[in-house]
Amino acid sequence: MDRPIKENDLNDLNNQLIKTVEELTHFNYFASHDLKENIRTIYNYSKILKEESPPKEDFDFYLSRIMERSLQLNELIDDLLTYTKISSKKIKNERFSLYHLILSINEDFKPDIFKKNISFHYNFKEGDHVWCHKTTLYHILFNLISNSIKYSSTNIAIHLKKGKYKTLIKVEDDGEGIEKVYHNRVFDPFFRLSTKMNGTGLGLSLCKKMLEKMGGQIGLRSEINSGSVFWFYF
Amino acid sequence: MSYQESEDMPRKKILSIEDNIDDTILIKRAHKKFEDKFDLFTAQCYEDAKKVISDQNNNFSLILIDINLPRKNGLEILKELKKTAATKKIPICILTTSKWEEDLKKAYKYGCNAYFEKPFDYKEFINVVEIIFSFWLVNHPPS
Repeated sequence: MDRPIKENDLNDLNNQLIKTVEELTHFNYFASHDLKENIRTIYNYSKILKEESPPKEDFDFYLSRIMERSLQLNELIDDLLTYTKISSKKIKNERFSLYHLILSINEDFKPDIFKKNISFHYNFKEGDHVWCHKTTLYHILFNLISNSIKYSSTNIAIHLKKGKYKTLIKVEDDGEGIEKVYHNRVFDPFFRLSTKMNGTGLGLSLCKKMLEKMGGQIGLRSEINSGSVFWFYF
Repeated sequence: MSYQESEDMPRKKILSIEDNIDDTILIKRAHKKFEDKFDLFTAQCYEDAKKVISDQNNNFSLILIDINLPRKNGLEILKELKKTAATKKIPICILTTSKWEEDLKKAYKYGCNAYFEKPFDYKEFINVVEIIFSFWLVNHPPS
C-alpha cells in the first residue's frame, strides 16, 4: 500500500518542481526584457544627444526620457530584489495598530490625496490591533492604496474583520475597475493593465507572494466602471 | 509601375500597435522617409487599435504589432485580427524585443506575415522599420 502513495507524492513533487521552473523561466525572461528595454532607451537617447546635437526642445525631451527611464530601472531593480528576498527572508510578527499603519502610508500619498480630493473610510478605530509582520502588511496596503489612487478613485474604504484565527482586510475603491477577463491575470508578474501608468508590473504579484509567505491569500471583485475590492487574509 | 500609380488613388495606411512611446518615436522617424507615400496611424493597445481600424473602415495596407502590450498582448491581437473577416487579409508584421522561440512559433501559427526582432541600436531599429515599410508598401505589389 505504501509504494503507490510514495509514487504519487513523488509525482506531485515533480509536477510542482516543473511548474516552479516554468514560472522562474517566465519571470527571468520578463525581468531581463524589462531591464533591457530601459537600458535600450537610455543608450539610444544618449547616442542621439551625442551624435545628432538635436535642437533645444528635442534635447530636453530626450534628456527627460533618459531620467524617467533611469528611475523606472531603479524601481524595477528594487522590486526584483524585494521579490527575490520574500521567500528567503524570515519574518517576525508583532502587534500594532492598523489605523496608524494606514496613516503612515497615506503620508506618502498626501499630494495625490489632496490634489484628487480622495476620501478615506475605515470600519476600525485607532485601538484596533493586528498581529503580523508589519513591514509586509505595509508593503501590501501601500501597493493596493497606490493602485486605487492611480485608477481614479475618489473614495477608498478599508475594512478590517478579525476572526478567531485569521484576519481579513479589504481595500475597496470607486475607481475605473477591472474587466473580469483579466481578474486571474492581474497577480501574474509583469502583467500590465494600462498604457498610461508607470510601474514595474510587479506590485500585485509581490502582494500575492508576500501573502503566501504569511499563509494567506489575495483576491479581487471588480467590474469595469464600478470600482474594485481587493481582499486578503492572513 | 510605381506603387502609387495615380493621384486619385487613396493613400495607403499603416497602423503601428506599440505602447512604448520611445519606440513609437523611432517608428515615426522611419516613416518620415515615406511621408509622401503613405500615412502612419498609431495605437497603444488593442482597444485603441480596434477603434482606429474601424474608424478607417479596416482600410490598412500593413499592421505592425509589438508583443508585450498591456491587457491583450500582441499575439492575442494578431490572432483576433487574423480571425476577423474584415481584417484577416491585412499583412501583419510582429516587431518585438522577444527572442523567445515560443513567441515566434505562436506568431506564425496565428498567421503573422513576418516576425522582426527590435534591434538594440536606434539606427538599426529605424533601418529595420524602413525595410518593412519599403517591402510591404512600396515594392510589394498591392493586393
